[in-house]
Amino acid sequence: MLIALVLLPLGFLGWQGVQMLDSSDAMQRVRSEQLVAARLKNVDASIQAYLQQLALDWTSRLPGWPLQAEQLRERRSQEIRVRQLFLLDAGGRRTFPNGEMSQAERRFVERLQMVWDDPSILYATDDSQRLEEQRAVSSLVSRSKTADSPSGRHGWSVWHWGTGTQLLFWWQAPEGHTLGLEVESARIKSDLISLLPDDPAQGEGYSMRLKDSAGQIIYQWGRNAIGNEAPLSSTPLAYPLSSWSLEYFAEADVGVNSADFGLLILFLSLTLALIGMAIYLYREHTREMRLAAQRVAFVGQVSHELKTPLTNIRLYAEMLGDQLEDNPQQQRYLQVITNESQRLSRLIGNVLNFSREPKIHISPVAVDPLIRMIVDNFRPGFTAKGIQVALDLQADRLVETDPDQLEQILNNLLSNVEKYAAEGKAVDIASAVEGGMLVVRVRDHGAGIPPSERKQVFKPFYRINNRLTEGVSGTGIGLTIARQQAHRLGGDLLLSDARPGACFELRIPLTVTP
Amino acid sequence: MKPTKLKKMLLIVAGLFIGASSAQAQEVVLKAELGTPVVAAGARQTAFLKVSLTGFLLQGRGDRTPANIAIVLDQSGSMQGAKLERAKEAAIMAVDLLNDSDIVSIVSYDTTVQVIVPATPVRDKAEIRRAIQRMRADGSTALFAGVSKGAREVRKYMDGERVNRVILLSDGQANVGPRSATELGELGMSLGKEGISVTTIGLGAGYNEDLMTSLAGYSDGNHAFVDNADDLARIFSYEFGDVLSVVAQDLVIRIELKEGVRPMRLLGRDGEIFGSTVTTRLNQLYSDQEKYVMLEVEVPEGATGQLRDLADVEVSYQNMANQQKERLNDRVQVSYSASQQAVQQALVPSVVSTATRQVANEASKQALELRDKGQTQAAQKVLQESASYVREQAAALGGAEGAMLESFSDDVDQEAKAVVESEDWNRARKSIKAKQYKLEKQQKY
Repeated sequence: MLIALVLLPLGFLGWQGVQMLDSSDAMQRVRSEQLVAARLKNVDASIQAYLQQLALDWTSRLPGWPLQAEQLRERRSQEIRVRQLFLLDAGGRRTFPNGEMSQAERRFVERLQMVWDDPSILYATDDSQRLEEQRAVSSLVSRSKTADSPSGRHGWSVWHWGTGTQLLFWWQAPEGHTLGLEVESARIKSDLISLLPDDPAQGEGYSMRLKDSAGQIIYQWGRNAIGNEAPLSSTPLAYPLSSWSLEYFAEADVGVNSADFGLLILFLSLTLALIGMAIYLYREHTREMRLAAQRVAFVGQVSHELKTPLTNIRLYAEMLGDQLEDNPQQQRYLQVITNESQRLSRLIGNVLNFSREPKIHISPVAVDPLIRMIVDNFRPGFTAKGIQVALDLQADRLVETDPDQLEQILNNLLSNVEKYAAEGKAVDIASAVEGGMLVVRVRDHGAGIPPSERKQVFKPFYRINNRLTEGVSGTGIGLTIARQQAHRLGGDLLLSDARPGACFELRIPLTVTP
Repeated sequence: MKPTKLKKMLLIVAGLFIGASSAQAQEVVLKAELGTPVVAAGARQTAFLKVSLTGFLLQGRGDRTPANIAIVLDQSGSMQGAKLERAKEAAIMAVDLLNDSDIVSIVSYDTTVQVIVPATPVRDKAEIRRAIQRMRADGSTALFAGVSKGAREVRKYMDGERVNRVILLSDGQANVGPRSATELGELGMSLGKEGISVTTIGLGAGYNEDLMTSLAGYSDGNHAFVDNADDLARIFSYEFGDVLSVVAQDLVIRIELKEGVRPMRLLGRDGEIFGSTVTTRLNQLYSDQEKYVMLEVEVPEGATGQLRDLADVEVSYQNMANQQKERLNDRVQVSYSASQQAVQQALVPSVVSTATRQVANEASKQALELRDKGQTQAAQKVLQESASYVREQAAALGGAEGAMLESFSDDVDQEAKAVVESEDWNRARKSIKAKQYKLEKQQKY
């Protein structure tokens, strides 16, 4: 019961919490997806801005360059982002490098053979280049994007060889000649690294990674540890570095955390409160039980001590009765003593029965005579209170059971009648054998037991709290013991409806198998 | 009054010194000379042309070129423990050598890059020290990114009047970001053009020496192999000694060979050869130190007694003493003689000696390539031949230079042994590579 008391509300709360988290999760996911996309775009944009700045710088300076080999070499040695450069005349013929060449220049001429064969490959528009790209079988692929301006055309051309993506920047003067710059790709990478954020001392909960066309990491920043996990999101860079990509790493539910945490705390504190309450209730309950057990043990002890003197009283009262003259006055007094000491020993028997498990002694019992004898025992009391006894005994056979227990049950029932139902002025006692069971019914005509109390009357120390019990002493264990004993005999004690009054029905099997 | 007297005397002595040093020109000394200024007549032959530049002496201690340095430190997992502690100490010691006219930045890298001290004038050394002390080792090695960020910090105070330098320390393979010797070389080239040199210090046996020498070589920085972390402080102090004694920057040497003279090859320092023009660059020249270009040329045949113009040499550089762009010129002539004795007598021992060392260095590089391909025996043969060539030259030269060459030939013998027998080839290779680099670039330490 207590466990259910704790678990039920927790289960409900948990379910509600999960529901709430689910919906906020979904919202958060959409929001974080947007955030991720924005961050990626932001980085891409700054890379684009860098390349545009580079192009702008060159287009503003290239027109001023002298075109003699020596000066071009001089420029090349100063341009920090240029590995090699070439000059094509208006007819598309290479005029630099040409003639006397250094080793590096010769290699450069070799690797750009495609350009010397067909310079239009540089200026080709996107569409035709794409076709070119599809047709290209070799790893040597180029693509260009062209921009026109009054000071000439310029654009990027992308090549793949050696250590990956290589950029060519070309500028065609209005006079027709073309200057081409082979960009130092390591320097571009280095510049981008300089441009991108450093690693902050405290991670912002996400990391990014810039990868080149071969899938090699160029740079990564953010949270220090990226394992082998797949990126949350990735995007290719814009042209001309479109074979490079940006990857975004983060724990999937970043941002939901704080809400999660709050809910978790709430849930935990509720759990704690409920468990605390349950523990309190449990302790209260066990304390009461302990007290009751102590009480019972004490009473049991006392009762046991009372048994011996009481036995002596009864013994000597009987001996006295035998020797007494026929003095009715004296006879009556002696009768009272005997009755009261019998009542006292029933009481003690009850208490002892409750406080310790009695042994059951099975023997053949003639039920009806037993009932008669018990009723006779009660007769003086009944007579005194004006209670008429109606007997209807039909169980005319031997029953295998414990006569002491059976007697005690009936004693209890009759004693209740005497105590609480005297105003009914009648008690009906019936016995019968029905369906292999011995049935004994004790029905009074008193005030009866309200339906709401019916279940409680069999509980120990429970006494119906109304005028019925007022002024009447009782231990509150009579019915409890009676029912326990009925159970021990393999049967049951039931309370059935009767108006007016109450009817207790004892059912026990005809043979008991202990 | 003794103290005043003493002061006076000191003043006079100091005055004498200052007088003496100011009498010395505050400019680079250019010397272009042939190993064999007199050649045998009647035959075509090769000769070594040495063009050397010597930095002038700095006047006083306070009077030096301000520096702009980024110290880029590896804090990957492999640096954990003593290595990182020694590196921190070395960096702290190095920062202590600087003053408030210098700029310093500290960058550390593992899987990512942290700029732990952004470029700043060296004023609050305690704060810089604290930042260095906070470094913790963990993660991989994003070397390329570390250098890139270091260069960016240098760029913030980029100035022709400063010595601009990135000092890189690494103990491992670059495994995040670009990692090939080619790419690092390209980066070095680009930074060199910009006026930033990268000095690379390899620690222990785990780093890639090809990558590190390539990066240093193309940017004209220094390179050192430090086997034991305890030596880091020493190497850092050498390096800072170099940096703080730069007297000239952005040097361009142009050798114009006269008609009939053909360039054969450059020994050591890289350069470009177009027809009869040879150009090479140095990012900086240190105080009182000689750097040179060794060019092997083919001299056409001539008649006895003929004097031939061989080459014109022009050098332009930024003089850090007066912050002026200056030019130097020299010319080289060769004369022909029938007398073998005259040829022999005219030999310039210092040039022959350095040329021999450079030729041996080329052989050493070739041997290393062979060894890398697994051709151990062939590599050894190349070195053995090289050693005997050096010994021949030593014998021919005689004198002090000859004796020094003789002992150098022993080094070559040692190397010949090492390529075959070395128990720890990984370490030996790093050591050889660093030696080659030192000779090629005439590195002081």
